[in-house]
Amino acid sequence: MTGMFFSYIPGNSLLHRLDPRSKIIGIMLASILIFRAMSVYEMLAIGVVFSILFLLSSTTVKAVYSSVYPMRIILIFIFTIHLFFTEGSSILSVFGMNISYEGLLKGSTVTLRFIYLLMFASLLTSSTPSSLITVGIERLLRPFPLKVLGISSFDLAAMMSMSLYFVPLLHGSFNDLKDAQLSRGLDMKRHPFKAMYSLTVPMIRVAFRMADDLAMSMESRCYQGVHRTSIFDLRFGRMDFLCISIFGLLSAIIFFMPVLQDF
Amino acid sequence: MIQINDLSHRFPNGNLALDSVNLNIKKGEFVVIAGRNGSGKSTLVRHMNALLLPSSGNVIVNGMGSSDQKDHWDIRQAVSMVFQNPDSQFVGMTVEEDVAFGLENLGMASDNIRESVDRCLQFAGLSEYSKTSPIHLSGGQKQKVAIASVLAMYPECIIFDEVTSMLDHASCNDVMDLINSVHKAGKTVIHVTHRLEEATTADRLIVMDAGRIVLDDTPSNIFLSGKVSDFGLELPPIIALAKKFKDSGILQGYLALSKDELLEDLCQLILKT
Repeated sequence: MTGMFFSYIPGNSLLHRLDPRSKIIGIMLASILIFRAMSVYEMLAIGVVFSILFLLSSTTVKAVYSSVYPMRIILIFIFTIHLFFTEGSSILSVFGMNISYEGLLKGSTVTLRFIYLLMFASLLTSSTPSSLITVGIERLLRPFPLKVLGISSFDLAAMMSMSLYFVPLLHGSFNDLKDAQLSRGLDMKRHPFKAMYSLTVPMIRVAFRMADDLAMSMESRCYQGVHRTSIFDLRFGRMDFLCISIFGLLSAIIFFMPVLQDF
Repeated sequence: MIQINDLSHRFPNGNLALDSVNLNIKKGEFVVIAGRNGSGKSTLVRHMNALLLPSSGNVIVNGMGSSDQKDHWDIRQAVSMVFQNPDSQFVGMTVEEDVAFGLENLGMASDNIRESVDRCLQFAGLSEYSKTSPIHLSGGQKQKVAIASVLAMYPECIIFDEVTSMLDHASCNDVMDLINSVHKAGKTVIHVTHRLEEATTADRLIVMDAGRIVLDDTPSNIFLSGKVSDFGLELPPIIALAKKFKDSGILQGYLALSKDELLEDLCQLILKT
């Protein structure tokens, strides 16, 4: 389990015991801080906050690494774009393109921001089962007037939960379909466009059929998308208030760090 | 409990799936509906759960007509349905979440949901899998989860729509044992199948063909009549053998519906002679 991308690691750490809503609020605060951080000090301070939470989570380094590593191509791309396309004082020239000091700094900062985001997200997912995250999001969204948009927080929660369940199922169906087409002589290397058509069209049909069956099954089990309860009894305890307060205070300090430095 | 009067159903493409069907199912009955593919079995049972609405005629469940949309919720609470493919009916990421889904829709409190889920999983012999993802279960176990999921909603009647058609022999027997236990627990059971050996424990066997009910009697009477082959169905080998013995006068009395019953009849015959 530990080697899987954003997977849950069972445990009883402080982070595991917190209400999922506290952790989601924490992640939201952390995301705001990460995107506001500009200086090296702010980045270091966020790193310290992450380290404290990491120690409180009983999460492994491998789990955090497994959540960042699959995104390496995107991270390299983000870094390279900023490195080559930011104007400033040139420090090096590669293939006729200038690398500026400002580009290096901006590329590093933006890439580090994404790495931090992934690391904080991995803390949430490794200490909270996906079903509890879904319930937590639903409870947080419940007070908002989503009806205006024609949806309810229950619909959103159901959609999230079903997507998480259906992705591996669709992946399995896709593999079955691919094997069936290969056994019937499909040559994916010689005719890639034909292969794409032969796989996409039946796959869409399979997905629609599955969605239709699921909708029927949900309807037969009295799903209406209106008020629902949950098997998970969420309780926002004293420890949640304490953790949110401490995290909020730390966030405020980091948020106002530039002002404090000027002062 | 379920009363169907002159029910016809025409699909949007013009196909007539049900043609003037009349049926009355009593509380506590175990009814098997059999028929070849396309005979209208699944269409018929979907009307009992208000998933399909009549083109003409009416379906009344516990006094509530399926044509009235405001009664659909109550009808579905009274008559639950388990579908053919368990994979496409799971909603929860773990077994316990899936079993809880219906109860959450009914607005039950967390403690009560937990209690019901545990009880139903125990009944289905799945307690040890409560935290497992349904994806990681075998076909038979998945179908048992689907059964536990509808049992948790305390329905008076459960419809099993070809639940054994995707299972191997052993899993099929396991699921049939569970269905028989559900009936013994006092529920009305409607089991749709094309395997007639699954009808041997039923109170009543209904055979459908071309959208009509063509046979409706006890399983042994229908097997004895020898009419099932006219409608694309085949007698199970044991029952066919027992019928041959009976038709040729070797065995007398009731028709043996299982291997054990036939062996017993044959042993008694040997002892007599």
